[in-house]
Amino acid sequence: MPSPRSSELWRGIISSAIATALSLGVGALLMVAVGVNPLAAYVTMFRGSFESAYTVAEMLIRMTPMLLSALAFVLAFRCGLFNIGAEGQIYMGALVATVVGLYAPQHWPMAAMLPLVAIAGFTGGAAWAGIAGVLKARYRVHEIVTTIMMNYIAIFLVKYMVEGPLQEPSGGFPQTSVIADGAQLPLILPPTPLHAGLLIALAAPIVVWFLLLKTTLGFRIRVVGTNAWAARVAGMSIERTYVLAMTLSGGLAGLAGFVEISGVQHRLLEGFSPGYGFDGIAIGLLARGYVLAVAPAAMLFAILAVGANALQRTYGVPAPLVTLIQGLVILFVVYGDHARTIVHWVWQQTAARSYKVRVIR
Amino acid sequence: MIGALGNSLLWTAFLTAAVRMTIPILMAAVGEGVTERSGILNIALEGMMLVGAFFAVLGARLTGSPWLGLASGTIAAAVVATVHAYFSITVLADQVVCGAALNFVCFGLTGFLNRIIFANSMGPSGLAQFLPVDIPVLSKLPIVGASLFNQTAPCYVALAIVAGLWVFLWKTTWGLNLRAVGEHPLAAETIGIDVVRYRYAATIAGGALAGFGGGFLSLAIVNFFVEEMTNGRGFIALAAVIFGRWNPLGILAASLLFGAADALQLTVKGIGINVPYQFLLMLPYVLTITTLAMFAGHPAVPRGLYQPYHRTR
Repeated sequence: MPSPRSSELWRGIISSAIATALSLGVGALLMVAVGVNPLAAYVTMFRGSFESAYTVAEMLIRMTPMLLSALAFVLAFRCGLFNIGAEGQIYMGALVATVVGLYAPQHWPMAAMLPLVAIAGFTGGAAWAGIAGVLKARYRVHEIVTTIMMNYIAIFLVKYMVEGPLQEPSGGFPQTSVIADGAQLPLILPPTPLHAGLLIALAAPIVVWFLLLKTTLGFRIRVVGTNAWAARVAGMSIERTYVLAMTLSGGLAGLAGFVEISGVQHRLLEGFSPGYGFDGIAIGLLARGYVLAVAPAAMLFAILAVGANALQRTYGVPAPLVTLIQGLVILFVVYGDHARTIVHWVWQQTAARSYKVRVIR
Repeated sequence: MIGALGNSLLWTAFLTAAVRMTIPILMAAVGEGVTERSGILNIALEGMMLVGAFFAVLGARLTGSPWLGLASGTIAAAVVATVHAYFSITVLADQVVCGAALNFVCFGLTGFLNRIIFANSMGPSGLAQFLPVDIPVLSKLPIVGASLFNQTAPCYVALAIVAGLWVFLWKTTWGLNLRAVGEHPLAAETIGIDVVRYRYAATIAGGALAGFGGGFLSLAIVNFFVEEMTNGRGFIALAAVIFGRWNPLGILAASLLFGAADALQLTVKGIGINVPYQFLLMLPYVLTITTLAMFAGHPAVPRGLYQPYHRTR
């Protein structure tokens, strides 16, 4: 993945936009097939996110963990790694954050408590992904397989914790008690439930962008991701870079777990993430690995996710249609690159031919 | 507890469930084994199983025949696999990216169609279903008899497929060619093997088998369709392939282990083992990772796996 030169960047933006339009088009065809006016349906979908301050808040709350886990995917992706395990890292981040939020002295002020809980979340995700990084670096076990497997382990571990050792004392539901007040993210747009996690999610791309493009570590990550052999020749440790990139990537996903617990749930419970980690993969791919493109892509996915429910309520169009559209977006992006090479090739051929013809004449 | 462990009825129930729960994972895994032997990685197994499960139910509902249902599930998943083959082999897209995208597509498609066609998120039940077929004499063996030789007919078909694939891969020229394509596509092409054709065939066949596994799940195990009912089995199958060293017989053993873990959490309370069931659920995944760490870099890994092949122009 090259650094975004402006022509490359514009091409990326345009092809992602075309891919999005095409997949919304396929969605429209399916709506027509079930007898729904697609234009009205899409208007309803987008209005579902922008109708009132409350719905905007709902959309931004959804966007927050999506954005962070997409950054997690992108960071590893730039190092040539596929971190498919953001979902598990979200769970581990949430677990560690909750433990700290439950057992740290309850009277601590927010200024001390909140950073501690955030660091705990980051650490939980980082450690979990770090295992996959070490397995990759030291034992050459492919990170795709380990991160997928570790998703399930993390989800079952959380399930065990909330049904066992960490279950609330009343024992009514598979969930923990509520974390300390100081460990909860403050609301930033009362009376809506929009929480300060959004600020973290908006700052994160800038931090990651700075890390990747302006620091030595970021340079190392990008070199290993672009050409591991060149990195080796230049004396960089590929293994150490893999572990570091995986750890940082997992940390970002862990932060997503933290904002979800600290900002939304205020306690740990099983199944609290509706697949934010997997959304992150799709968003990261739609953003084509560009850090700063992650935020708009995440917003698009959040709008689609919120709109899906509006679509189902108003028109009876099944909400899974949106998942289908999300998958198609990635396929179209991938196909766009191919189509571009074909067009380029054909253009070259015709250009060459006309040149030849001219010479002969 | 000792008494429960000696209870042969419980063991029979456990083994029967274990064999039954093995089949969906096994079919997806042996299919993926063949696909990966050709050098193509398909992480969309989960989605393809789901498509298989849905279209199997739909087909059975429309035709009234579970066999035709199973066939439609198999074919539908093969169609999805063709898309994966096109993107991986012709478009030379990243196989993981394409597989991840197809998982989304399959989740969305089955959910959408299910709610449109069956009008609720819980699919239809009361279908024409597969009934256990009793194999004379063998089924009278103690404990294993009732569990191994009193399964549904597709279960025997599945086991025959595994044996067939082993013979195919190790005892036929086509199998040798396929393995050559996965090890070193350029060398294979040099001696006249059509790499592209082999990879297409292996990917589509792998998808079809995943569809068969999904159809088995919806028609021979639970007899209905629920959204996302495959519940990660497609990903377990990926692990079973590695665990089983890309060899159909090894994959059979690995799938049995995963199937047993699946069945164990269903019967564990009856057997009275005092382990939190969540840890039993984790077991297959932990096992996979530890075995991978111990045996990674093993020569069994097809060397051309996940390497796009550019035919020299």
